[in-house]
Amino acid sequence: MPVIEIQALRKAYRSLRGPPTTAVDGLDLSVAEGGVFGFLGPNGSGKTTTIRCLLGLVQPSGGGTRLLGAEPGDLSTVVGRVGSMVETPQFFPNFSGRRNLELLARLDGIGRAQVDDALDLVGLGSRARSPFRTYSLGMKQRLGLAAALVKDPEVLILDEPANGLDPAGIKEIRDLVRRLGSEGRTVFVSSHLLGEVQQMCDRVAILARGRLVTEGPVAEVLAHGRSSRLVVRVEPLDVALATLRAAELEASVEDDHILVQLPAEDAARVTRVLADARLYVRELRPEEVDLETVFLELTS
Amino acid sequence: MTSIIAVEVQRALARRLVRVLVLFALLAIVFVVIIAFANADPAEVDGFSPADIWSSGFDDDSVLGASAFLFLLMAVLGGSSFIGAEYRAGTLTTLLTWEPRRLHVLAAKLLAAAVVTGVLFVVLESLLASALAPVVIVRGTGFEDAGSDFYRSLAGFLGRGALVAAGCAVLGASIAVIGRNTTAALGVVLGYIIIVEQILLGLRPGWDAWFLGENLGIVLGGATIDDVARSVPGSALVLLGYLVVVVAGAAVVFVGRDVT
Repeated sequence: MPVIEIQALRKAYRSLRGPPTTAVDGLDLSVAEGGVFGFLGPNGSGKTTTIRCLLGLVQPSGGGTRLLGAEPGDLSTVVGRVGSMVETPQFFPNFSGRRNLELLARLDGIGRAQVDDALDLVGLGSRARSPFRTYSLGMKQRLGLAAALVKDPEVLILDEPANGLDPAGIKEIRDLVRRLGSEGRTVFVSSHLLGEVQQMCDRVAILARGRLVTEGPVAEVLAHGRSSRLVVRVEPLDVALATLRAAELEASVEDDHILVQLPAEDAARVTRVLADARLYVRELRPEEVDLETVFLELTS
Repeated sequence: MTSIIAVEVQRALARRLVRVLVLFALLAIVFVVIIAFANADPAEVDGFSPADIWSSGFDDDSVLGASAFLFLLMAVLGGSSFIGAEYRAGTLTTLLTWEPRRLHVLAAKLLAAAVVTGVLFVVLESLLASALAPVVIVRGTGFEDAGSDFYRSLAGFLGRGALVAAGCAVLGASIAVIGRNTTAALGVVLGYIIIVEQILLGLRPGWDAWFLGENLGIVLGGATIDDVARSVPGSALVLLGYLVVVVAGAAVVFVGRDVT
């Protein structure tokens, strides 16, 4: 059974002036148990609205969602198995991080030891007694993560967990999310940090204007935008470029290398042409496409 | 359900506004006692008596009667701010991801506001009465003539007052749920009592049996008011009816509203 099921989800926000704004428009998505699932999309693509629908915070205009088999009306039956963090988490400003977390933990009968463990896990142990209002954005994110983790949940739903964190913090969160996913938990994480998503996710879905653009294992999604160009490093560049063009190959110089419009299986043609001209290749490889490139191609 | 109520009570008690209001009330008690002590004349036959502390009926000459109305305003402020602060801080999202049953969440918040306010009413009004007792003994008529009726009446006032104060906190909290902030709730309650009811009283004096102010006076005083055709239980029912309507409205809004 999928951990998260989203069927024909639609959410339109009414507006006093003008027509309703459609945030999610017929989204279908299924997330299987275990691993890290990345949920990508540009700002305003409907990621947070989808997460809010999943958690019962927002009522869909159409379609439906199921979390661990429970519809939004029955979420109370599964909420103890789900840890979540929606956008920048908000807590009571005058209470310390620890007190805020203790109050939430009491709802589930979770003890102080687990609260302390969760705070230590996200690196907030030393500032746990400071009032929440004194926290930086990154510390607020860490407290939100601690709140999601303190239940020791089967499913984690994290909306932009690295928002506001410094590079070291981002790496910590990446490692933590990867570890949680490898422990058999299901981590559903939305992010705009595509490099991070590429490194920590097993599967991704890309959303644009409220609709699913593509979904699948990271490698497969990357293959969608697989380049048909070869990167060639050779000296001198201008002579090599002229040689390739003389052989009727489409080539151009970019930075310190030449890009040749050929699929990887035809790479031998490049080496033969250049070797015939006594030009010897230092590097020849297919151009790499990262998630950012695919993302921009699919969502533009 | 009990755990969320306990959490909400803890949160209510830990709020800065509640502590400030309690401190303000304690300072007011000290101030009132000093004034009463200074004004009481032991030589006067009809001096400061138990009836000046509390006398049944709608009598704002008694210290407890007058202070009760001030306390009710504080109850509305405390109740509305309890909810308004949640909306301002945006903490509802976090809470609802732990307890998605919105009616449970709302009920816990309203109960917490009611319990804390009711208990504070009894504690602070009892403290005020106790603090004034030495004035009656040292510079007044003493308690010899007070009799058991006085203590029964005082206990009745504390009981009714606790319920009315709890109701005011729930009213403030419910309106804050509908209006999504503290100021809206305060504006609605004060605007209604100070402006709308006064205008209506002038235009339709016969409707006074349905007015909030009159019914609050009857229930708090534990006796009918001249020209208002309403018994104490009748007034209590009217107030309860108004409260049920507002709470039901708040519940409908709270359950159906998107939390964004």
